[in-house]
Amino acid sequence: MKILPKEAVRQSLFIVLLSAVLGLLVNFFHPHGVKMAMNRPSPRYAADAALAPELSPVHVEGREDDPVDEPAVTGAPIFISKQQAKSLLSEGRAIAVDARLGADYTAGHIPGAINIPYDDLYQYSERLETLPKDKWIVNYCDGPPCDLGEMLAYELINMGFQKVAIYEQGFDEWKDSEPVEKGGQ
Amino acid sequence: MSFVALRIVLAVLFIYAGMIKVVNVEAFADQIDNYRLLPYLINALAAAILPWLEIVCGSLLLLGPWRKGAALGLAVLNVMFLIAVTSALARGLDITCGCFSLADAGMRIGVTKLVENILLTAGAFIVYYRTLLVPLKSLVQA
Repeated sequence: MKILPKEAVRQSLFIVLLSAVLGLLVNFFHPHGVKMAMNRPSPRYAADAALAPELSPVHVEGREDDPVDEPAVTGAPIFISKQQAKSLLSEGRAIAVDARLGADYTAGHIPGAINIPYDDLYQYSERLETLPKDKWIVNYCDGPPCDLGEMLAYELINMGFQKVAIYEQGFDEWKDSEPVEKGGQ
Repeated sequence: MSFVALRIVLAVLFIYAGMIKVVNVEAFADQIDNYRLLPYLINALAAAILPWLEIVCGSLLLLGPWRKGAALGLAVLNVMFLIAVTSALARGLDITCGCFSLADAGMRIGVTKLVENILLTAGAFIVYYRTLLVPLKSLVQA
């Protein structure tokens, strides 16, 4: 008795081949097909104009196909890139908020960031109340698949904040090229 | 005959799982990528091909021709899924399974998912064993 009969192996190889051809062909014509890219596509970032100081915030939904210069839609956070987060923070027009747990924050965070762990939100209501309404709040987590920054951003929108941004690529991307601050809470 | 029932249940389950994913390959790719096991390009390829592998294997197992290859395919697929879920759990990832649902609110991986995976894998191996190694015919003859 052979554990792996040749016939079965041959058949299964044909099955794999057939599925590969079918899968790639269907994917090519599929409206929700996946793009064969080296890196996971990230949501489109807001236009820099949306962050301009003289303008009231223009909100752009990530991942949607609507053009970036769509008229302002209030009540939604915007997605920003590392570059955008960096310039907002360095110009003093934003506050970074770290939505991760305290231990992660202590191990390293964006310099000047305030730690408001989304998972223990109710314990940090004081910190939420001290956040400025006239500055951008840049929420972040480690990066995909962590969505704590995004969840916190929606929470802030619900609380009435208008200038809410999500730095989705988060700390994983930041720490590779930018200065990091340790300790504190 | 309980073995035939097992074969049919497994086949239908996999056809169903495959068809759900074919609807939105993009979402499925995100789910595979959440496991953080392989580079994105490989995950994207897997997202395009895996659902069809499930459908083709399930259909062949149900209909008969090439049943041996299909049984082997399902056994290998189940082992792969089991490894992926186990490793994600071991690394403490809080992600959706990407098994029978593409919704964000889909079932998160956990002990229940692990047990489900172990049962499916066991089922696939029984089917493999019965289809390839000790067909009932030979039992009757013996």
